[in-house]
Amino acid sequence: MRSYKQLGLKYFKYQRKRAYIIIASLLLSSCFFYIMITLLINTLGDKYRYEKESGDYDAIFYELSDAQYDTIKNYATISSAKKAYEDEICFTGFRGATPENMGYISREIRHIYLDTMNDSILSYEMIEGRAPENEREILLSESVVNSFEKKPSVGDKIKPILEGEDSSYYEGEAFTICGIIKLDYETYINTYPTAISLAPKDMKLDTYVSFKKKFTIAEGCLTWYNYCKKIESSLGLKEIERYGGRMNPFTINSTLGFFYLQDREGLITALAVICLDIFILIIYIASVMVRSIFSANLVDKLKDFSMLKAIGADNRHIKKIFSVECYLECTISFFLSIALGHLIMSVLLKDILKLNTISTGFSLAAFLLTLVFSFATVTIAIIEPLMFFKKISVVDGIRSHYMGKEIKIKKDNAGLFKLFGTEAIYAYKNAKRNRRGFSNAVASLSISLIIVIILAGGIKAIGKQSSNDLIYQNGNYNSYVFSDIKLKNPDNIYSFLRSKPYIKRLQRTYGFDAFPSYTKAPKVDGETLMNVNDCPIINLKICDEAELNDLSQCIGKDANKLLSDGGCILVNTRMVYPEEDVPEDKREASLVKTFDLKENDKLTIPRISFLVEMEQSGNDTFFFSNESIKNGSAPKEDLTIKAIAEGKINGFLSNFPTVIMSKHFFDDQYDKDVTDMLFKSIIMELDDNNFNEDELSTELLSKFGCQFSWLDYNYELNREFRGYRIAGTFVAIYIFILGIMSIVNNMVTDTFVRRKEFASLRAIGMSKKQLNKMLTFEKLEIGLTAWFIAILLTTLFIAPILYIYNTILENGLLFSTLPIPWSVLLLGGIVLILIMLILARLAIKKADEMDITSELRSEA
Amino acid sequence: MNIISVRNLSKIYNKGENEVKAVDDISFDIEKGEHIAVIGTSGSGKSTLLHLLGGLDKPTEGKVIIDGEDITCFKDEKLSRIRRRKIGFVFQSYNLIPVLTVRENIEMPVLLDGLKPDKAHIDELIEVLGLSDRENHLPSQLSGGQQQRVSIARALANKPSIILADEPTGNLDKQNGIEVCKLLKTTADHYEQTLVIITHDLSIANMADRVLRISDGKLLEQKG
Repeated sequence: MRSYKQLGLKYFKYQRKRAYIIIASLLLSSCFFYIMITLLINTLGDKYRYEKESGDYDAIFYELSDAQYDTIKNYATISSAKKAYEDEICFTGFRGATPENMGYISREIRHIYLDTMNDSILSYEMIEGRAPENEREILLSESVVNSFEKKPSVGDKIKPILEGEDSSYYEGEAFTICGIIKLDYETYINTYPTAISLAPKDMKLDTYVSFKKKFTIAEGCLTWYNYCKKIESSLGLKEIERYGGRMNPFTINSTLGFFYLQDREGLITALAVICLDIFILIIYIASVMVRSIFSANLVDKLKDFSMLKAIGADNRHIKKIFSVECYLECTISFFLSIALGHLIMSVLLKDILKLNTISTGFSLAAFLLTLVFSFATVTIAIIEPLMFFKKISVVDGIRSHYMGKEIKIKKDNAGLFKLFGTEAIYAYKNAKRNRRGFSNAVASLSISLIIVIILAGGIKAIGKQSSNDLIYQNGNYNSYVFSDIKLKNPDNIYSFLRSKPYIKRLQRTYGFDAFPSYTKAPKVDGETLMNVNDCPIINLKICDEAELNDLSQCIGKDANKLLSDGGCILVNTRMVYPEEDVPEDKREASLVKTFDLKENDKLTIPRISFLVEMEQSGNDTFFFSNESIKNGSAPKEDLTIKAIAEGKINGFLSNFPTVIMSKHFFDDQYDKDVTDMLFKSIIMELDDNNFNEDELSTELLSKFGCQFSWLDYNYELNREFRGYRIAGTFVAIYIFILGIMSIVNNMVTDTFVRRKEFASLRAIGMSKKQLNKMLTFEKLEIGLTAWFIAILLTTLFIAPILYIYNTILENGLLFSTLPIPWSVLLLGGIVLILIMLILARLAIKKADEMDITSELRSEA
Repeated sequence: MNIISVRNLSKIYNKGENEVKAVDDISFDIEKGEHIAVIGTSGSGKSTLLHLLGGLDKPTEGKVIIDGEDITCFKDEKLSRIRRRKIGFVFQSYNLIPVLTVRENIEMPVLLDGLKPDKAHIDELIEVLGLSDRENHLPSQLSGGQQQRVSIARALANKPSIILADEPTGNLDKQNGIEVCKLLKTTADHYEQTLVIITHDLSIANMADRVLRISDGKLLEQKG
């Protein structure tokens, strides 16, 4: 041995079992940190890919002059500005086969993207074939190829079938597929399955600019659109067209109304809880587990180190010897954690969760951060055990009397433990007087359990909130809900649906979504609730007699009578739901007030007769308001507010502020049946037993182009939550393993240190059975205490956690609740007890293996 | 009347070339109330003999008969009961339970037997052994002599008929050692107990009724 420091290496070499436990524990904590950091860093880089995958993508097309183009391409937040033009096209007739993924309820739009032969086309990854050489050759993106039942290949001809839009030069012509390309995700055209062809020489080149959302989902919508509008007005741009990606439950409101304060509660709760879990987890790993591991390690060497001190070593020497071993274990575990981290990410994310959009590649930043984390944690973790060692006298260390002489013994009668006999009393006293070991074990277990509970509670909260969102928006119907935008033919739809045996009930709804610019918009916490055109959205709902009767019960007034001569009832919907979860004293604050209006005030809305006329002329009222704002032609009328109601309205997107009018009034006013013109959507109640989703989806899609369904929501939610559940379960199991590793580590040390005590007890007459009972009680005491603390802290902490997040997020979680997951608490407790019983068996086995006589003779 | 009878007792560790005969075919009897000292050099097999007498270790051959019962064939439960009720151990390194106070350590064998400690008896032991002002202290808060006195009190707590003491003065200075032995002898006389004491201190051995000399596991002579 060339240096005394090499003693640390010897400990590593000759106490392999202990070293393996330490390495395994450090490995798990570093590995988890590495996974989190890698995913976080890669996710930041993957933002656009995520947006593309989730369908939360928007683009606006402007017509630009060359000068405007030169100006705008320098805007930092504009992702691409290039000369090109595009046209809309559908391949639905290709070879008589329907693309498989057209089965999705939303309308899929295929595009042919025309471009000049330039670097951008050549820069696409060519999977097969070559770039187009003339206007009649076409490149298909991989996604287009994959969307067909029978995949087209290079050399095939495709003949596009147009969908009624005014299209250009290629009508009736066939393209030859010259190549198949893989598009990079950053371009707008990749949002949809896309084909690329060369632009014809005689075509005037417009310029297209795509803006990418800078912020995420609903939160960024308003900001992003406002930004676009500012650029638009400052440069005098002319908007050609705008597109949004496929809508999912989390974006549907923002896409329709661009309200950014709605419906993010569930998502934010989820993110908040997950972030909190991760935060607590990292603190937990750093502060409790690693410290506990090294404490146990030092206790193991207490006698050796004391002897070293007896022969002349000082605390500095001991520190170096101990550090060499600890840092060696840290180094090994660090490299293993990097390898294990990549393996876990690959298996969990790619193979199990199928999250191919999230990059799990090597990140130098993550590598370095994990390196710092690992060594910093170990450095901090070994301080406390070394401080503890300093306080122990050499003699006590050699005798392993490190109980702490300052303990004051109070007379106690062991309480309920007396009921279980001498063994239980002894276990109780041991726990009470050997607090260090006991509290380490309890801390490890209880924190593990708390994190598991909060995690489980978080997932449960996400599920609850999202379910509430879903149910609320759809009026608690187990139904398809669809909005018919283009084909206003309610009778046709109705009779079609009535023929389906799996539809139990049908209900027509009437009304409009309108965006009047001239009505004063409400404010919530200083933010004006408006859409991109600075208009408050209004859900104009036209109720029949039966619906008004229902409403009468809610508002305590006869709604039929109130609305018999016109006027309206305003319904201020709630920001947080279900309503019964909102404390009584906060109901007022939880309302999203449609307008700051009182009864008998006037509300200016688009004139209904004009809307009806527009319907009759085949225009789409959904986009009516946009047009009316642009050309100022929208006629308006004032409605007298007859009553103000609060709460929810059953039906599609019913959490929009709603204005209710009587259908009866319109029938009278127009002196004719305006039912068709007022028709908005149909709610269907399905018979789950006979329901054939595929059949209905296909038929509705082909016949009516329906837009949203409850099942779509469910599909999206399940897809989202499957990921949460698997990831949550993984993290929970992971944390639990960490906790158990820590306990096993403690137990091994505890049994080692107490071997003489066990021998003494056996010598004075304790049988093996009694020893087993005592050890079982000790472990049970740890398990039960950890369980109790977990219940107590979880119960106590959930309220402050919510309060903190409410404060930080201000509007987000005012009244949300994070339910205490009693079932997880119960189950976790039972699992905990079972694990402790298993650990007790292990300790008993160790004690059984002990040679009583040699332990009694030993000096320590 | 013999309270302990040892017949052809052997304890062999390891097999073959490494075989060590810690106790080699020993036979002797001890009468009730007799005080016996076992002497011998280090490694002669004294402690092994004591552990075999107390049922802490199983012999390779032979019998240990206590009160007419051969304890070598007893199972753990019965053996533990014998240790609790009939035998009290005193060890060189005290072997007290670190988390229990002086009184709790003394009461432990009684409690393990499922009985209520005889308070008057325990108080008397504490008083006799001079531990009155230390009864609520932990072992780590006591001196070596005090710890050994606690160990003696614990051995006497169940009023056993046999006290087996394994070099009880080994960790003590001369004066404390003699004091402890006197206490052992006095209390053993007081409670009419058989005392088997292992020592290499001849002055202590001479206090016994009979001395057994052991060498290389064999019983060389019995004097007394």
